[in-house]
Parts: sequence; structure tokens; C-alpha cells
Amino acid sequence: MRPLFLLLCSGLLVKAAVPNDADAGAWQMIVLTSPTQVAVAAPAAVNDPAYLAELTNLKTAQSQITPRQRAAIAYWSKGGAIRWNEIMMELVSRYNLPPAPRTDDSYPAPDASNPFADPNFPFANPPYAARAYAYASVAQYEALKAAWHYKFLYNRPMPSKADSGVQALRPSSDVPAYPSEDAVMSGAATAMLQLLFPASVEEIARKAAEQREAALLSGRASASDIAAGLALGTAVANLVINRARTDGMGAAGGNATIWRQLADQTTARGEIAWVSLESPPRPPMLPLFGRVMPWMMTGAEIVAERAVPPPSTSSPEMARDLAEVRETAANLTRRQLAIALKWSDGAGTPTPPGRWNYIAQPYIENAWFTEVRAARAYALLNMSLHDSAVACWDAKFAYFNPRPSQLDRSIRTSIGLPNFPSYVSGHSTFSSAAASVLAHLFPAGAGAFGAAMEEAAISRLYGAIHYRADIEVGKALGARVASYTIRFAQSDGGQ
Amino acid sequence: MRQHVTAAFAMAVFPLAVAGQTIDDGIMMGRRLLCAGYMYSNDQWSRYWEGSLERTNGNIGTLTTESHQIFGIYGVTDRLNVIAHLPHVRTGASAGVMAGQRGWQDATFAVKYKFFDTRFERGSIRAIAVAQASTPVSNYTPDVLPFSIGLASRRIGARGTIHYRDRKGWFLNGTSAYTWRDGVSLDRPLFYTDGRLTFSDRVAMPNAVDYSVSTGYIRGELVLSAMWGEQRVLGGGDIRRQDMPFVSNRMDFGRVGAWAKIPIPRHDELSIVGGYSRVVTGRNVGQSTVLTVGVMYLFKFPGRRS
Repeated sequence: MRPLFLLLCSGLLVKAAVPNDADAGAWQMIVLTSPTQVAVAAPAAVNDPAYLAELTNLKTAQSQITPRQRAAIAYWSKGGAIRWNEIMMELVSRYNLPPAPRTDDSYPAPDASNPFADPNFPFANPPYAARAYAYASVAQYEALKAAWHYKFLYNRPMPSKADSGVQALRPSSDVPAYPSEDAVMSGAATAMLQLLFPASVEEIARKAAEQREAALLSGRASASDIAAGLALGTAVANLVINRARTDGMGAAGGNATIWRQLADQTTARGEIAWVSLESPPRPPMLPLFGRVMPWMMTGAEIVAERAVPPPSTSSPEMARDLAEVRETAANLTRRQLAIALKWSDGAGTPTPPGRWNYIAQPYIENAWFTEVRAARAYALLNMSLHDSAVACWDAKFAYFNPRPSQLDRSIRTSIGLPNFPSYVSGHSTFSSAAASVLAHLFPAGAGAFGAAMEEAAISRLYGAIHYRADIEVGKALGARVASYTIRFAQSDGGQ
Repeated sequence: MRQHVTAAFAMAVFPLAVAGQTIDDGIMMGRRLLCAGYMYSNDQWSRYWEGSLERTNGNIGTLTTESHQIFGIYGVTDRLNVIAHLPHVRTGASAGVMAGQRGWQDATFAVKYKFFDTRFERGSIRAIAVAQASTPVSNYTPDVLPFSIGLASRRIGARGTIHYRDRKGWFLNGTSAYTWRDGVSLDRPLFYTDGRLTFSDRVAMPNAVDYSVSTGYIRGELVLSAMWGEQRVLGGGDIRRQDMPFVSNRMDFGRVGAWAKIPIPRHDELSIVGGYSRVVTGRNVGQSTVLTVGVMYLFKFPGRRS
């Protein structure tokens, strides 16, 4: 018994050594103006009869706990920020399907006001997904910083610390319970995902309710801790939603006039303009996404950082790059095909931004972060991915450069050909930005992130859907975009 | 004696017996006889079922799957036959930009045992049990359907067949099998199917049943037959709207076909074979039309009884 006891003690000591990020209320806000922008009233004292009644109810509920509720506690104990990120990946995968053509060969646009129709809303393609991951992460991060402000302002302990009769079914922490961070996340996620994935609102609400119930039954939060958290999370998310409604996404799809202009202005420069190789031809994916509001950059900085023009479609450089794609496709090895498929992240997947969240997850999990610090990591990563999407789409539609299979119809791809211009490679931009930001947050993983970035980038040549120039310039663009996020992260108070 | 090269989607589900004395017919090879041969199949579809929605796809056009197959059946005894076959498969589409795939697909081995045989005045009835196993012989990917050359799943199956034949050679054959399918590995660490995102490269494969009836005429080395059969996969998700097929989809289908084996006059150890089949009902499969031609040769080893 004694060695086991010591082992348990040392385990608890390690946990107790994890910082509570008590200063997180002062970390720099991104959308909110201050952590007190949403007011949270002072809670009842721990000897208040109303609070004592909450604890009595909680003890009764714990005595009647079901196996399903225990499973929910175990599920959410991995961390709310991590679990909501996983749920996001699943939602993106579910909605990452392009609309099917109508019988007259036109393509219907997903309609946010009728999300259950065919096609479902949204089409969670890579730019849509990058923006969605960013909004969900930022809403959580803003709400948790505000929650941390009030937690350490009011300092009401967890029920399991306030009353030894309340069991701690998750390792308890010294982070004050009011308002409950689990409820904050459930409220922020519900409000935000309702906007982004309206057809899955019931499932999202069910998950959110389960998270709150798990917080209660595990002895982490009382009913009033949860009520205050839910209200705070919802209110903060609504402030973030105000930004989302005016960030330019609504116009990103363009219209037939704009699609024609993009081609005409490219032809006027003497270049071969991109055409859709789908049958029937599909309008380009979100041609004005390059004008959607970035997070860590301004619109002017997006233009200032724009990639240099690609090799002219009539240049020897382009002919050489095209030949390389042709040769690679014709002599593709099984190992190269495996790399192309490993990183394809096409329709029905969490997209490349989701893949980088997946890559980040074990690092966030193993760091034993507080929820606010985990949310910071996801927010920084996903803001850089969103900004990468904006910068990449800005270049794609500034140059409107054709894919290899358009210039040489004999080139067959081993993965799906994305329906938008070639230059620069989205995978390369996303991966370079994500690897840079993750290396800043988790220096021990820098080597692994860099290797994954290189493999993801070259996978697009193996798939025969990108020229080498798309990849190399995309990587450089991603690194420049990441530098804005990293600069912010060096002085936001959470560094 | 039916060919089973069906929709590219469904190809690796069935035990693909294209051999002279196939796995699922009621015909047994005599002791110390070896039937070996080569067969070419051409499978084409331009319509397919996306879930239960029948459609075409301008990015595929017509999908063609060609199969070159070598096979052999050996009579260990009159009651016990062993069967092996191995196809080389090549896929390609008439439209779109996606590359076709090619390679050696799955080797199949089967042991066929006649455990019951009774003769009466008007004919005979026999019952046959088959144990069959298939395994991929190359490292092909099942993750580029409908271009993949197979589903890359190891399988074992148990089959029962009842065969009635009258004295003139008219026959009626019924057969059914249950196939257990091992999971497959993808080159990626996560996949979405059947309403769920799974964080693994390992895909569980649902098991399958198939059943078919055939009727026709047998005289010496001549066989003429017509068949109807179905495959049912016991689980798996549908292809979603405008999605690509996935390896563990529920690939159900029904098909009809006809088959002939015609010996060369005065050289009846040599036969030419030909067949036609068409998928008529389906879910998550192509509406395949399959044409097959081949040759087979009967080797008679010394020591056999007359």
C-alpha cells in the first residue's frame, strides 16, 4: 500500500504544479474589448443557503449516477477544448461535400436559410473550414479569458473542494469554479456552431448539455457555476458572431460576372486562364475568399504579402514544371501514392486545416494545459490557418493560374483535382503556417511539424495536381502569414 | 460455371470464381484431372448507385475494369477438388482527370468437397461444401474507389451448394455463402463513413452473404447455363450525395448472366468459354455489364480411373 500511496501523492503533486493561468483574464483579447465586456454578477457565498441547497442536490445526483453519465465524465475529462475541436472535425467532414449538378448542368449553391436541402449547408470546403475552425476556437478562447477573469475575481471553489461530501469524479484543480469553464465552452460552442453548421444544431446542443451535466456530476461545478458559465459563453459567442456576419464571407462565392472577369483579366495579361475541369464545369470555389477579413493581419497586409506572380503559362519555367508533373504522374511509386493519399484531405475529410488540428491535438493533450491555455493554442493555430486561406485564395484568384491537367490533358491525377486555380498550393500554405505556429507553441515538436509540412506539400506534386512552384511559393507564403500570429503570441500575455 | 467479375466497387467482395469448375457450381472435377486456363473479363458501367440513387457522373463517364485471370482446378479425388485463381486488374475512366489503377489483385484458394450424392431413376442430387479464402497479393490501395483494383480485404468464406441434374443433362443449381472480411488499412490516419469520423487508418469491413441459382445443360465438356444471384453486405454506410465510394460501403447488387463452355470438336480437352452478366439492382455499386472470354485445358494425369 505504501509505495502505491506515495505514487498517488506524487501524481497529485505534479498536477498541483500545473499553473492555473490565474492571469489569463488579462491576456490580450481578439474580438472583445475587455474581459468585463460581458458582466457576470457575483456568486452567492459558499455558506449561502441557496448554494448549500445546490450542493445537497448535487450529492443526491451523484448518488444516482448512471453508467452513461460516468462515460460522459470520462469523455469530457480529455478536455473541453480538445473535444469541441474533435466535434468540429467531424462536422467539417460531414459537410465537406460539393453540391451535385442539377439536370440542367448548373450547380445549386448551399443555402444557409435552408440547410437541410440538397445541397446541405454548408459546403465545408477548405476555406470555409479554416474560417469555421478559427471562429469556433476564437469564441471559446475569448469566453474562457473572460471566465478566468471572473473566476479569480470571485474565487468560489469547486463543489468538491467546498464540501467534502461532494465527490471529485475528475481530478480537481484549484481553478475557481464560478463561472464554470465547461459551461462557458458549451455555450460558446453551441452559439457558434449553430451559425456555422445549422443543420446539426440538435446534435451540438446534445453534446453541450452532456458537457454541462458532466461538469456538474463530476463535482467540478454547481448549478449556479454552470448557469453563469452558459450565459457568459453564449454572450461572448454572440459578440464573435457579429464579426462573422460582416467579415465578407457572404460575398466570397462571387457571381457569374465576377467568374467571367477573372478569366478575362487573366487572358488580357496574355496568360492562359484557369478553367474548371469538372464535368459539367463548376464555378470556382469561393473566388472572393481572399477578401474575407483576416485575424492577425489586415486586408492591406494580405495584399502586401501576396506571392510574386507564377511563371508565365508560356514560359520555359512553366514547361519545365509541367514536365516534372507529367513525369511524376507517369512514374508514380506506391510510396508516393501513399503520401498523396495520406495528405489528400479532400471531400469528406476535416480538410487540411482540420488535419493540422489533428496533428496539434496530442501536443495540447500532453501539455496538461488549463482550458484557457488549450483554447489559446487552438485559437492561434486556427487564426493562422484562416489567414493562410485568405492569403492563398488572394493569390489563387489574383493569378487564376491553370492546373497541370488543364495545360496537358494527358496528366492523370491520383487524387481528386480541386476546383480552383493552381498557384499557390493551399496544402503548402496551410501546412507551412501551421507548422510554424505549432513549433512556436511546442518547440519540442518542431522537427515533426517540419517533416509533416514538407510531406504534405510535396504530396500535391505526387498527386499531379500542383507544380513545384505552387508548392515552394506556398510554403514561403505560409511562413510569412504565420509570422503575424507568432508576433502576437509573443506578447499577448499568455506567452 | 459463371463468371463473377462484377462492378469494380463490388469486385473483391465476391469470391470471384471464374474457374472452369467454379467454386459455386455443382460440378466436380474427376480424380487426377487438372483444368487450367486463362480468362479475360471486360466490365463496364456508366450508371451507378450513389446509395440508392441511380445516376451518371460526368467526371467518370464510363468506368472500365479489365481483368486477366489465370486459374486451375484439380481433382484430388472425385469428391475433393482444390481451386486457385489470380486476376490481374486494370481500371480506367473515359472522362475526368483521375488516373486508373492496375496490378495483381487477390489470390483465391478453395477446397470443394462433395459430401452427399444420390442417384435415382430420373437424375441425381448432390450437395457440396466449400471453404474458400482470398488474400491481396500486392500492396494496392482500396482508397481510390471506383478506381481501386479491389477492396484489399482478406476474406474467408463458407459455402453450400445443392445441384440437381436429370438424366438428359438439364440441371438446377442453388448456392449460398457467408464471407467474413478482415479490416483494411488506409494510407491516411482518419476517415469519415457511415456518419462518423474515425481517427484510425484501420477500417472494419462488414461481412457479406451471397446466393444464386442457375440452370442449364451439361453434356460431356459442354456446359450452357443462365443464372441470377445477389450479394448482400451486412453493414456499412452509403455513398453520400456527390461523395466518392468508400471501401466499407454497403455494396449490394443483383445480377443476371449466361455462360457457355464449348469444347473444340475432336479436341475436347480444349474448351473455349464465354459469358455475359449484367447488374440489374444495386446499392453503392456500378451497373456493370461484363463480358468474359477464355480458354481452358483439361490435363489428365496418369493413374486415374477411367
